[in-house]
Amino acid sequence: MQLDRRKFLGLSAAVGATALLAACTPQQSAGSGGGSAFGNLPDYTPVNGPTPDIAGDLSKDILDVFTKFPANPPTLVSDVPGDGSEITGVIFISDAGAGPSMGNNAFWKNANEQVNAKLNLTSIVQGQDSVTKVQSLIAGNDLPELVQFDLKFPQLSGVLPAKFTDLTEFLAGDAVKEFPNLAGIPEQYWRGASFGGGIYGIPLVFGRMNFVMQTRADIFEKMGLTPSVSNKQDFLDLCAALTQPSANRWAIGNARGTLNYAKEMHGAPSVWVQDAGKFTHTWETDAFVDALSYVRDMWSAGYMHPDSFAGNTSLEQLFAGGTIAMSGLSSIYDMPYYLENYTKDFPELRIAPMAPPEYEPGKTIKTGYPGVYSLMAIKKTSDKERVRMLLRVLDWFASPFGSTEYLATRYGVEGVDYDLKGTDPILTSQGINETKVQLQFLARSVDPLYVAGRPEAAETLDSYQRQVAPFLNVDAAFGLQSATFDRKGAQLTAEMTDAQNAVLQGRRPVSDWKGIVADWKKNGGDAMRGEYEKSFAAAPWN
Amino acid sequence: MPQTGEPVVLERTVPRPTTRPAEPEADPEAPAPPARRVRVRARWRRDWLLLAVLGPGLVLLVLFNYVPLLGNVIAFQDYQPYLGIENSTWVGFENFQVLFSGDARVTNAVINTLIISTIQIVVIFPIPLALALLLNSILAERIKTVVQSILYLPHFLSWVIVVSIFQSMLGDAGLVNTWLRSIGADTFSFVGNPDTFLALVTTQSIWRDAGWSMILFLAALSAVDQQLYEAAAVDGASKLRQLWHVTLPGIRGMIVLLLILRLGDVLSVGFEQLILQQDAVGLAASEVIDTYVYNNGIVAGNWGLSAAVGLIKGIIGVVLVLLANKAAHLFGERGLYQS
Repeated sequence: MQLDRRKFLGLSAAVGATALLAACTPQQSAGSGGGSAFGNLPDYTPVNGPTPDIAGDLSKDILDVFTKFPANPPTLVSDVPGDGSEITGVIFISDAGAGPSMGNNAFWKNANEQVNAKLNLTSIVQGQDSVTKVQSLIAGNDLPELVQFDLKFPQLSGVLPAKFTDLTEFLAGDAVKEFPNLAGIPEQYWRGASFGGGIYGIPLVFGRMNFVMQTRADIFEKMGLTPSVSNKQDFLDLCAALTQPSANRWAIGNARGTLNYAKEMHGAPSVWVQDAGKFTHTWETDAFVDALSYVRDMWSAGYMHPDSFAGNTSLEQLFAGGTIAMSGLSSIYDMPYYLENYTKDFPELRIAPMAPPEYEPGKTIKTGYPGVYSLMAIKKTSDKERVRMLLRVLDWFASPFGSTEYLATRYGVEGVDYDLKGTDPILTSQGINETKVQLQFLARSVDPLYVAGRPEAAETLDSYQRQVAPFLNVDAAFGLQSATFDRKGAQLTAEMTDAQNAVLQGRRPVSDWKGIVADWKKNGGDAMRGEYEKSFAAAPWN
Repeated sequence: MPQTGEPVVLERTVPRPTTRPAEPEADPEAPAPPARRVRVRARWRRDWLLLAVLGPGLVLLVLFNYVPLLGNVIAFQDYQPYLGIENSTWVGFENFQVLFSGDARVTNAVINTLIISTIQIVVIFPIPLALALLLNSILAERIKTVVQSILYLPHFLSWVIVVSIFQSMLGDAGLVNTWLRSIGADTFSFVGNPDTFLALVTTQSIWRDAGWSMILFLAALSAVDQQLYEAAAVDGASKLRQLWHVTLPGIRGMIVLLLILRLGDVLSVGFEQLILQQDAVGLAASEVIDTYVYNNGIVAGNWGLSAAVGLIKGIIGVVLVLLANKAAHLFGERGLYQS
């Protein structure tokens, strides 16, 4: 006990008064709603990158578009960020599997050399596995310096202040200017990194358009279909036409993605919606119940791949291989990812995003995403120089599109991992394999829409984003604090997902849903609502 | 038993309490403590090598089996890893309430566990025995070895692989169903179907582990005295009679031992196998105590509660082993240890 207190005093200099307060009162979750829960966030200074072919507008969720990689990319970070030491970390693994280890990975070794550090990273599977792994690292007091956190991690607002560095003094306000690429992350994303008044990580930005329904344009064309639907029946007809089990093909293959598209078709919001300070969860809406029974019918009609509910199937393989013709679990950056990584194996691969139809005449909803995929947190330390060095390394990884750093973080080494076709870096087989180690998960800039070697694909994505961006619906609870969510969020979500799957697969009647939601409200749903409403009222951006 | 007069069975170092006066021939000259020390020293000199060999194993046992037991204190805490045991709040028996409050998830997990466990004891347990008896009746040594190898090799595949094999062979989109579709026949739904989940996990367990458990029985069978068979044959006993009167009594000790050990594990029905297939069939069919502890404790962060459930599970296991052992003694078997 005494030793701990002394340790605390030693650290207090580094962590600031708020964090100390939060750490000393662990039972009370750090930001259970007071105004002090929201600290100073970093100022946004856009990075001076190359001029896009079609300029976007981040305030309207429209991303820049590049049809070609800029010629003669500049090097943006002039100083060497690292000090030659080893940096340990835990990052998420890609769906495509683990890439080669550092010793056999030219892409990784090159990044080490460029930042002048030995990035000793362990890859873990995002979701349950990452939670259990990081929990045991915390329990065993064996944390690496950098940890990628899922925002659904249990007790995040307790864990971060207790075990990780408050970056406020390094990043808040104009302090972030020391790290110009991190300053290029807009303020709204930093809200996800703010806990109990401190900044506890670098948000990994993945755009705000989530669950983009992607279609295999080549398969559609071969079958004389068009990837566009104007009402609920259209989509069912499309599914019926695409489903040919005897040819080993199903229309769609993922329960979550399918349900999400159905939510859009029926007008159910993304997660929480706020109206005049009152919060409602999508589960409570009639539109959600309609979406449930819609997907339930799709499942019983056999339009969905039989393994749609099994967690252990690789959606990527099914979609790239054409076993499923549509896939709904993707960010807007997934289409570039598929095309850049799978065209080699599947040369016929063409993808087109499909906007949701109006759910009522004149009304459309596109479920969005707060845009923060995860947080990169730095283990608690009183060594400020070390923190600065780590932030410089992360800043290097956040270099924007069009720079030599970007080529190194996404494409690797020229002539080894990629070959230039014109100015476009085309991944080689070795590059595809090596970049499975997701170094970009350390930190990312706000990426434009770009597909190496496929200028028309970027344009397709651009027309899609312009079509749906005005209807983007994002979780209203993002950046707000709820002690109940912290405590029971993971458990309640798991229970609801299980109940939801039971309804979708026909194990429970749709009429059960009301009771399921009533249980959820009683077990914490209503408490969360109250806390979010209180936190919302205190939020400075409101 | 050793041939020297020296007894190896543990001697009591404390003299037996006795109401009788000390017997005269028990060497009244020598006071008890020095004599004991001599004996201990002699035994030490004789056994030091064995003890030294035992050492590393003991250290591991203490380190990985006994020290972690102390961690059970978190069952009485609202434990959070980031606070550690010393800073987490003590909550007394609060975490244990979930066991008695009729919590639907716990009840469901306990019921599923008992069902699967019953199947494992009633259906799965006799299969390796039957396999061993069958294999033992094969006389050609070569065939015997080949069959034995084929049967036990799946044991070395991890559950991830076993589950994947079943899914890609028997799944709805697996090899067999794809073939059935291609010839226009009806398909079946075996994997990922809550109604057939019990049959599926039972099949998987048998396929993976029956061959392995068979080896223990084979070893016991080889220890049965061949002369007994010859004597039985001379007396005119049929093969079936020989099985009943010679073979089974000969390996009864092994059967009872394995059954006792199995009873101690009655609340553990396999974790990996179930958690890997949980998404597809849902919690109602697949949640058992171990997956509940994992899902609720490690994934969802209710560490104390899960530790409480795990602790109770462990205690029940120990009690069952002791009871089964007692029963074995009553029936004249040796059991795990002798009383």
